[in-house]
Amino acid sequence: MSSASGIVNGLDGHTRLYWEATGTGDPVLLVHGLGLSGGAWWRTVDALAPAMRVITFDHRGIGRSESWSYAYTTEALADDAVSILDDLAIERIHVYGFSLGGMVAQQIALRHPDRVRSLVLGATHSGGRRATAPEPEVLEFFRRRARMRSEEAAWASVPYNYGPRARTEQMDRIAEDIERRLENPFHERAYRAQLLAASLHNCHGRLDRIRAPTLIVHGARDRMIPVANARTTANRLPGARLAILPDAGHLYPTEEPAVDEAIGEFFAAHA
Amino acid sequence: MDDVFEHAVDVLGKVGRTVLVPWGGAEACVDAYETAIRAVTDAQLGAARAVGVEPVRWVLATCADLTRDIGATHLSGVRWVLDV
Repeated sequence: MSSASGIVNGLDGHTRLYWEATGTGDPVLLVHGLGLSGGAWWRTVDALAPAMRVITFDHRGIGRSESWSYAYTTEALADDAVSILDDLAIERIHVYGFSLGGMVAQQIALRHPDRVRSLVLGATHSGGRRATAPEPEVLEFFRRRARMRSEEAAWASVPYNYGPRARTEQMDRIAEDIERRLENPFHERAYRAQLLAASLHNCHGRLDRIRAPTLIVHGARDRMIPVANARTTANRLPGARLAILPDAGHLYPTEEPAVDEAIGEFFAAHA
Repeated sequence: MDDVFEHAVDVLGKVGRTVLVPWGGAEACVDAYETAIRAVTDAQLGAARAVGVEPVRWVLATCADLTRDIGATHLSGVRWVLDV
């Protein structure tokens, strides 16, 4: 399978973004979540790359991407992503955003509608007053997490990131995730900036302007971003398909490997 | 306390939407503000690329970042209050 990687200069001229492309075919951009690098998509890349050109990247301040300033809004993160498409001369692309990446994907679809062929919003919310906040214990974890070392934080987040079934039956897969995650460290300030970007995110009132075919995927046992948010988003996005995974938590790609195949079929149907 | 806050935001939103009716409504006004922010950001980025001389390019690119991010923060808050 072919693969390539490189560094793109962001639109502002002082941001350097690391990207990787795997496979050939219709292109898809994977936009990762809070504090994760593009490498966190490894399971999904393996599933999609046999039929698609899969592009992953590191947000600024994460992994191998650098900038003198961090991105404090999902708008800035969306523009960063589009600068990668510009550099790779990709006009239109499927976009799959997960968690914070799903918020960025909404911004890409709204700010650059001509670039988006289809959209998958995984375990995310659209912000605004109708967003359902996580339970207080999760919010308290976010506060504590900022003071933890990377490995401690990765393990402490397990009860919030994974559903109860995965925590009893799939600990080997969870350990694999954490091992991969720790390969790509990030600056604490970048994490805080991304947390702020997620807090400020607000696309809800404009979701009905998104014209790209959209699939919304969410784990019913998600504690980070409660599943009610998926229903709220779907109600505001006419024609969107909603897939709720009954036993999955926030990081459903680990818990429900078959979902990546279904997402590949969704992209193929909108090629 | 949360209820009081929610109520205050509701009232503020209603007042805002009413006040903005003569200008085409809250949604149109917020959209126009966003369009203006993007136009100013794009102009600054275009100028940064055209000039290409440091530190002028750096200053213009930084101004573009600040315009977009401060504008986005305004818009997020305003949309939250006006519920648009």
